[in-house]
Amino acid sequence: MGPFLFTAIVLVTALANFSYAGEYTLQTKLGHGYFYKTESSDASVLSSQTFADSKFQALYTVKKSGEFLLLLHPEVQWNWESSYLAESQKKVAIWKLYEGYAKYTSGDFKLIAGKSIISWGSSDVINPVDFFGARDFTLLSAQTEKSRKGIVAARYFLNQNVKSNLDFQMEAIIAFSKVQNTQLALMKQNWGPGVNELDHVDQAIPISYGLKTGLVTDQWDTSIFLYYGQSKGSELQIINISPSAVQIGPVHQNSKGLGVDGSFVFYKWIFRTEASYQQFALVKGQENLKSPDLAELVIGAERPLGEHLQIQGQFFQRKQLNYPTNDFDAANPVDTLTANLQIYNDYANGFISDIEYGFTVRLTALLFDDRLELQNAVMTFQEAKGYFFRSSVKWTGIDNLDLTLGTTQYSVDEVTPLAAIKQMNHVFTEVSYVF
Amino acid sequence: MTKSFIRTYLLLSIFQFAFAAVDKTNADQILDHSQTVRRIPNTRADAILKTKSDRFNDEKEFTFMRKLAEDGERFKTLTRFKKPLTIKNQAILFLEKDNYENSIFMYLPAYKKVRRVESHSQSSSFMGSAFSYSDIATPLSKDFTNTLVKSEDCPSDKSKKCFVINSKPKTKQIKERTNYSLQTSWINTENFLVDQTLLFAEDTSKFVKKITFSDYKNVRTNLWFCQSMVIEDTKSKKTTTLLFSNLKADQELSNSIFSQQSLSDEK
Repeated sequence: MGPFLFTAIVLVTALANFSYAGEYTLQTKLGHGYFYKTESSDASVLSSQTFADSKFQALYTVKKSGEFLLLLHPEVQWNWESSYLAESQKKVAIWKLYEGYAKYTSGDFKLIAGKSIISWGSSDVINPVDFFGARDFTLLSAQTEKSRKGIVAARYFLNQNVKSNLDFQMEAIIAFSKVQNTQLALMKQNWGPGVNELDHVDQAIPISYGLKTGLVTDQWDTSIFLYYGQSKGSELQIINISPSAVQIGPVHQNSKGLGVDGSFVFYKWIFRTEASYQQFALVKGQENLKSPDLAELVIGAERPLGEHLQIQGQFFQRKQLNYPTNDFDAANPVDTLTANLQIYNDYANGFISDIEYGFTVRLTALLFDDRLELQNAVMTFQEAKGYFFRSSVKWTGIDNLDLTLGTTQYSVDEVTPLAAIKQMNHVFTEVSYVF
Repeated sequence: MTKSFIRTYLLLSIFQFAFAAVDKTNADQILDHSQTVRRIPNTRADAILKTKSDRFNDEKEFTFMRKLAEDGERFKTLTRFKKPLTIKNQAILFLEKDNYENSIFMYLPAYKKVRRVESHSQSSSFMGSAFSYSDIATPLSKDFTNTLVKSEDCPSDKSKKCFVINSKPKTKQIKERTNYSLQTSWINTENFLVDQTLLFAEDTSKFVKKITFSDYKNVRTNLWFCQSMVIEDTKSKKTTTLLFSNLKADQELSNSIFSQQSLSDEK
């Protein structure tokens, strides 16, 4: 009740004080993606398909003075027929409140109450410390960063100028976890008999807490992140066993997280690094299927190459610390049924290897007075023997209009989780106009 | 009475004393005074950045906030873009430091992230305009070896006289970061305001950029703000005009405005 009550009080107070100041923007977006080659690990989920959506966004700001801000950012999404979408998602208009919050700012502190985007971490694409940042992958936008979901939360920010060259920053968050699920693109899958439409099973506490504290100087910055609450991503777990079938579904667990991030300048390079350690545990359920703890690390650097080029590289590593290896299983004997379920569970979640590492490289070129952006990025997964490649062209030749064209290619070897995508190649276009 | 007010008062007092004692044959002193008469402690204004090139015309609107740093010489500058709407709320925090080791932070609304931007080479374009980041920073006379070349008619107003001063970077670092090996400035002999600056790369016989300053607004006694800057880039053949309006120079701006955290405050 805490965040809801707090949010309600701030919203009511803010609304009572507001008068319309007449500032709003409307963003329209039309996207189309064509999958010319797809394959999943169970060979039955995906087929070659087309996907298209149109999105209408409104960003509406009402303010009385510089201290209060109310922001509403609804979205309407229309899905065309697509074989990977669940029945309930086909050919329907989906209304979403992407963001909607009240903000109060006074001097060094700031309060945000409502649904807002929480984006922790300074690295690109892979953010180990982004404990809150759930994503919505059902819309395969050209800009993957725009898949972030708003989180209903009360957020308190503080900035203290300690010395002329040193700022102390803090962000405390109390979030309502029920809407924090990451939504995967694969909405309809046949994960075992009896499961077509999958509902998330919540086995975690309903409130999530987070604290970020950091120091910022001209040349470097560093932050520490603490988290306790629901894991943003679900894990496939056996949720029901009957004599005739084993039912498997996505389950959210409790998560405790500790993370650090930092960035600094060295010569012409900007270095960014992030690391986190997360523990998972079910509040209730089958403890013998507990997930391994997870440690993640990202180290990256970027620099300009001349006036128009920028290069960026990242190394990432993922380690499952109490990974159920054969040695572990031998030391912790369980009955045959549990052992089989454990194997099934490991396979379902891709716990095939206790370690994964890889590299990302991105090259960006800005041409024609920065109106044309060419970008090529590749990410490799060394253990899974896979890669993700993305190439895009973005044109902003006319004010308020963006046009993006691109292609992605994704491929991993046999060691993929159950029902995960093994291969997915597609081309996409996206046109965005802001009124 | 706040500390900043006392500091401002002291600065102005020192300036007024020094103004009377300026040695008009000393290039360093002329440049120092030229900077002092434009050193406004707190500035808030609306701005338009108009860029014309052979291919495109571009116009960007932003709010501009600038505060004098604790050292009394360098500035902290925050620009938050309003138009075009595709870049609305994109913001840049620019913190000037010695030797042009300036810090640049950028807020990208689409990513909801504040990123530290590489600032070693500050010759890159500021938001696609003919201005580079180093063109926007305030040059200090102590960073350059300055020579008074001559006095002549001011380029923009032949009825006025201007000092012509050549400034060469004192260190290799400054030269690398600005990408200029020589700056020639025309400074009005009466009010010490900059009239025009030519910027040269390696070849000092041919300028790469020309900046023309005009429409100075008198904020207080002997304190001026330039409301119009036109920069011509001979290499890219771009011309950018930076126009300021709704200038407010008497408002206290807190340090928290110029923080990484406040960058993400979408308006």
